[in-house]
Amino acid sequence: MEEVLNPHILFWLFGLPVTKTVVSTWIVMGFLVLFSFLFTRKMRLIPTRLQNILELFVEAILNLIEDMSPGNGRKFLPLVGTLALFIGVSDITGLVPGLKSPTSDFNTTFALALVVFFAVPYYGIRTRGLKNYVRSYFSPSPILAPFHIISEITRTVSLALRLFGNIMGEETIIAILFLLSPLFLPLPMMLFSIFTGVIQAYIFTVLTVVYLSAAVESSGH
Amino acid sequence: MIRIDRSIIFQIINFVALVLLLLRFLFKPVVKALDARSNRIREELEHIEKEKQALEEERKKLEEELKNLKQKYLEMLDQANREAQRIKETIIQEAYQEAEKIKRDYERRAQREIEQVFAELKEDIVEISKEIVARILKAHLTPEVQTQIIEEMLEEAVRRLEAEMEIVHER
Repeated sequence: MEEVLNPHILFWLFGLPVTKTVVSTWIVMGFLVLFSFLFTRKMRLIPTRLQNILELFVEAILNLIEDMSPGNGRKFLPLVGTLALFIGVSDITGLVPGLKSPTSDFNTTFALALVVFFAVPYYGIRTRGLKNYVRSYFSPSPILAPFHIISEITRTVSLALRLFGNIMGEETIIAILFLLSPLFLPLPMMLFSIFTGVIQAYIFTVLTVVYLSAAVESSGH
Repeated sequence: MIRIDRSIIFQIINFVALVLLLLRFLFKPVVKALDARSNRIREELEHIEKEKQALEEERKKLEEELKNLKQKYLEMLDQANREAQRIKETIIQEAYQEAEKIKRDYERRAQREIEQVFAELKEDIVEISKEIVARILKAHLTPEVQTQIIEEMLEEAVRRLEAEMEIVHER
């Protein structure tokens, strides 16, 4: 169980531990970057089938952002799109034999949540200015400022825990089922985990857009 | 127990690097392609709209030209009708004049022929009468009386002929 919750350190690099999930993260990153590089090299005016899929994905993310935060689609696209792609692919990575899903490690999900945590004030200040953004913490009453801060911290932790819990839970169940009956029993759960993996990526992405749009809107929190 | 270790720093760096890499290799090219297509579609639509407007203007221009041509055609038709009417009247007039001329010529010719016939007839009558009278008088009268009678008869015959000719001429 300890191995499931805290992955084994494979080696150290620049004084930092490289765990199995860090390696999986690099593999996912390599796959995404290579895939993107290969299929966006020759973008055509009349798209090919793969270009169409990429465009559909990007347009879906843009529409998701625009629906919740009109006018900020292009601004949030790199962060939100990367989150959706990375989490979606990472959730499924656990199904590949020998790989561990990066999102089944709390360090990964917490890292993602921290990026969102810092992205919220970054976009808020960039859009509304430092003064207006800080003022929003004291709105509607200065008494609420500590609660706003607590809410931001708790939602970041919940964002990380939700994703970690779901993926780690699925992988644990699949591992147990695999021990019980290696051939057929894990199969439905594996298929189900693809579905829940995509759902978790969607939830994480939507919540990120909600937090970001709240930060850039003038009404604030 | 869940433990947060220093690998989180790697994961943050990894994710930020991934954002930058995907921005470079995925989002920018795809957004650029989407923009290019949108621009192309917009330009095409604008072009179509311009073409449509140009065609509409051309259609109006052609309709105006057609209207003018119709007007011109009607004017020409009217003018042609008037000209035809004028030519018709001229031809009829000329035909009447020609007919009148032919009629007069024939009348003059007929008159001349009648006069000629009467003149010849007159001469024949005179000759025959002379012959008759000469034979009668030769048989019964003295030469002086015969001559007197003949002259009186001839004068009478001439008067009558002239009177008849007068009548013919009047006709």
